[in-house]
Amino acid sequence: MKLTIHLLGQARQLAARERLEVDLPDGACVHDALPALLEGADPRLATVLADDEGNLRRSVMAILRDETIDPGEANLLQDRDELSLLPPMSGG
Amino acid sequence: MQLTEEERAIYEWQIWIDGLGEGGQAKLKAATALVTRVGGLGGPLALSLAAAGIGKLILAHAGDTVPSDLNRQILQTHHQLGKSRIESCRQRLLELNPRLEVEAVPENVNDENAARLVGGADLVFDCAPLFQERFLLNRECVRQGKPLIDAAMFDLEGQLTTIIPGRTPCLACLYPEIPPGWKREFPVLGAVSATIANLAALEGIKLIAGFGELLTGKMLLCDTRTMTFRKISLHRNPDCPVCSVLP
Repeated sequence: MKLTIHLLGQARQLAARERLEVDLPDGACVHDALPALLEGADPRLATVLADDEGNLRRSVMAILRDETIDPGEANLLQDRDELSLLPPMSGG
Repeated sequence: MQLTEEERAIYEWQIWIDGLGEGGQAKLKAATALVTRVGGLGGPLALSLAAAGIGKLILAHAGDTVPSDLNRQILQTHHQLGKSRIESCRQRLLELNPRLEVEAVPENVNDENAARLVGGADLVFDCAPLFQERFLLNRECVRQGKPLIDAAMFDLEGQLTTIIPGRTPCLACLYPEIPPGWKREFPVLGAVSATIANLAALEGIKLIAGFGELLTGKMLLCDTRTMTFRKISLHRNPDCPVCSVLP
């Protein structure tokens, strides 16, 4: 399936792009999209998005169809879905 | 709390707003809000609350004004460089609304003052740059059952949610860890921080006066680069170490 990933906030800045498309096997979860997302990217993007196991950090929101989802849940993502990844922001 | 004739004259145009009215204005007059910190978000937020006629503001912010504050911290002035930020905030707010009661605290939220600061307010606005402060404020608001309006920004983006302890996700549900790689200094434009600040102020005014629809269990995401605004649904973490242990 084809998935469009929108990068928000700090992730967008570190990736120097707002979106990318990845190909994933049917039934894949959000965690499965990270290797393609991080390949060749600024190492700081991995620090922000991925934990030590290579999964999406618990502090990063995965947003699908205007709802936060469990990034480890399989079969939520469908072909041509648009997923947003939102690292925390703060004030200042 | 009754309005004076002077207050009726000042707030006449907003008393005409459907749902606000004189009753809502009286609730604003009787309310106390804590704003921490009072920078790019907290400054314009406090200014809008003062203009709207809130009764009392507790403002917490340490340090002196530095040049890099002046692109967004609109309660600071060039004249105030090198002087206390919080004193500048107090003066600017009272110039706008001399009826306002201001408790200016020259400290950021910390373990020693969090319970007292939150305890003195009906409503809390979280505008701090450090997640340690934000989490501390969240924990204290949950413990005391106080509403927390959480505003944040980065670059040309911003976000806003209203936390009602026991009813909505708390900040620890949304962010179970201090994000690695986060720095206190980040890209921001004053027009963006003021936009999010004024949306936060509006959320607080609605909450106090009791009208409209709140961002409870929802988060507003704004991307002013494309002028895209959307609301997403949030979920409580049943294992949240902060709010799942509420009585």
